[in-house]
Amino acid sequence: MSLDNHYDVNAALDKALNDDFLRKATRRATDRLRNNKKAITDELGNWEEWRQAGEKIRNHVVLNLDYYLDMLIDNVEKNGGIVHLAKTPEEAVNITKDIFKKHGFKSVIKSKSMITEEIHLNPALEKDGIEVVETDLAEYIIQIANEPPSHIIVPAMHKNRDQIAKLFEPIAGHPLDSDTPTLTKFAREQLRQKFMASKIGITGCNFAVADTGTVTMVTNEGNGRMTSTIPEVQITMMGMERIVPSFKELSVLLNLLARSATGQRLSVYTTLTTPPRHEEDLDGPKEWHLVILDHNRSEILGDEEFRSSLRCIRCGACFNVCPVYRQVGGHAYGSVYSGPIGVVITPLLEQDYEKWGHLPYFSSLCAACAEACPVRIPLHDLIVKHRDRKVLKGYTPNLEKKIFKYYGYYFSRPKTLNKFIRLGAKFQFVLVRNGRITGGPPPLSNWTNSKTLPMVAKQTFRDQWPELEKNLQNMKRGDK
Amino acid sequence: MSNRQEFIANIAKKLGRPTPSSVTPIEVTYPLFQTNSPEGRLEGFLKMFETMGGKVAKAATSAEAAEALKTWFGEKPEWLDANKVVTWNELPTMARACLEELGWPARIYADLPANREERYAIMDKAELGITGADYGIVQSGSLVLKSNAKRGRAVSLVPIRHLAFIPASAIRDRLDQVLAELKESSIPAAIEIISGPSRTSDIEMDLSIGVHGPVEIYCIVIDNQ
Repeated sequence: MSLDNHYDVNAALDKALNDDFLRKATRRATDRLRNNKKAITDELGNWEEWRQAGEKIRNHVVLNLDYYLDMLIDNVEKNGGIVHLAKTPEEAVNITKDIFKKHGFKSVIKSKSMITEEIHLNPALEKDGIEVVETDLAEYIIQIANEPPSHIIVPAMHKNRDQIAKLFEPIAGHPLDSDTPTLTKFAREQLRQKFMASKIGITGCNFAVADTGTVTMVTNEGNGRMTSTIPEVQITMMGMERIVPSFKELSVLLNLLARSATGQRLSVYTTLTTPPRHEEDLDGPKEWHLVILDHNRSEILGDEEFRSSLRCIRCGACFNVCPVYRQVGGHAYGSVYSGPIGVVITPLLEQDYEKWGHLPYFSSLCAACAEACPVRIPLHDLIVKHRDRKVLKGYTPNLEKKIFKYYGYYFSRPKTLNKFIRLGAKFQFVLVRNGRITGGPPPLSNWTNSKTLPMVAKQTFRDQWPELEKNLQNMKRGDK
Repeated sequence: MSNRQEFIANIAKKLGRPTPSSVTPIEVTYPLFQTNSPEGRLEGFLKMFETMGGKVAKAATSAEAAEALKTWFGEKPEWLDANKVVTWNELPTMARACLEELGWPARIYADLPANREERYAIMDKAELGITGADYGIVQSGSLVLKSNAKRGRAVSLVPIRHLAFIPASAIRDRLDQVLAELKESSIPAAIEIISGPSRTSDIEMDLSIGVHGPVEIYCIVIDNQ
């Protein structure tokens, strides 16, 4: 799931923090999305009741996932769809490749799908000589730039209009104005040709409805509709937890999703397809494949502490309120899923604390994410649990281990500790500026590089105690 | 064990129990948006459809509908040509009468060439797609369109403009009501819920209308009862 084999957390953070445009753009996008959400959820009436309904529905599905998945498979097959179950990303990729081989397709149109990012589908298809065309405007932009998404809802928010115009120019073969209508029109024309000529499409899936075999996809641009309307073969990719029991629960979640993601009442196009096309229908896929991916979701399911993270509906609301995400943007995380939910699910999906152990520290534990979540996932609690588990599993850096070892040693030997503190109080002046400790040798410098420490008190509490105790005795006597 | 049995059994194992043979459906409650009268519902729909970026008019007769079209597109739109207006086979009576009154040539989608490349080439150049609509939704200003052989899905998607005719009686307050009614008959291959013109904010969060779907969306509410 790594975006870059040479990912280094400090280098990635330095890069992000020194990129003024990125930081401004991230704040602009997240502020806009957050404010839109606020307005549109206020309009709905008691948002807390909606969140509780969302939580209840998603919990119910997660706890009965085998039952609903079985029902979904039955109904999709009854409708004439082809279901593929993939335990691993590799299996999902191979299933997809086989479909291409069977038909001999050399080009595919795609509408936005985080699952395909998760399994790294595009590079795998391209390796087979297949042209992959991303059709969501933002995905189209970052595909040309050869970059991963920086936000699950607005994946290209780190690019400015001039950069986008520069990316489009080699394709256009002439200079382009960098105003939004020109750039949008250019993408529309380019992708129109691809849509009209397309033979196969790949889409994501926001929710699959178990009792009808329906898949739901929301887009604002219409690329999702194009991808599910024009090609004669369609592949839908979904994580196995993205299920709702019936239309009844679907309407609640569609409201929660659109309002939390972009602050819309509903997305412009909410498409409920129950493929394949019916006899005599003129549009829609004749052949439809539904690829259902596990990729350690079953491990999360079996892990009661983290099970609630499977409730996620991928709205991105937690990104927009996260003080860490808002400072560094999505790329600094190094993972496909960033933001608070990415912090929680990446180490679980990858079952790897060694590589992803840095993620639980991309949080101030302020809990704004949990408050924003439309299905009430206690994200900050889960982030703390990750830190805890990382330590228990022995992935603590040596320095940290040493510090806590010494901490334990000295704090259980009060006399020695007191001696050290007295020494510290005496010699701290070399490190003190304006009443705060502002520098020092490692490991102290890890802290003082970015913030200051209060001074060690001239007299320790222990040294003050005889005096304090006398006062206390006097006070007690006074009471009587 | 088949791949499917194994896959499901693994989930049951992780949940620490056998797969149940039945599950009690979940009941949830949440605040329900509601209009108070048919008039209120109609007015609410007109207002929200415009809020979502569409243009809408009430019409009691085909002449009134024709007037609205002339206001929107001109007496004789400059783009009007043999293949520029494409419609569903199944249209409300008023829609056909309105087109006849205007004397605008229109192609029926199912009558376009059966060869898909040729058909989509015509659609790509079409200026106006005309459809009916099964439901309207007040709360979100949406149109709901079911697909079938006589209702091509491309008609509301590929042309630059989409115009839908909807009876006032088909307007509902909320999405959940529409989905409940849809569930009562067989589910079509596609149910499209459309709320405004195609849009994006992908470039610097700047709203831009008309990416892949229609740039403009219009609705005539048939109000003749």
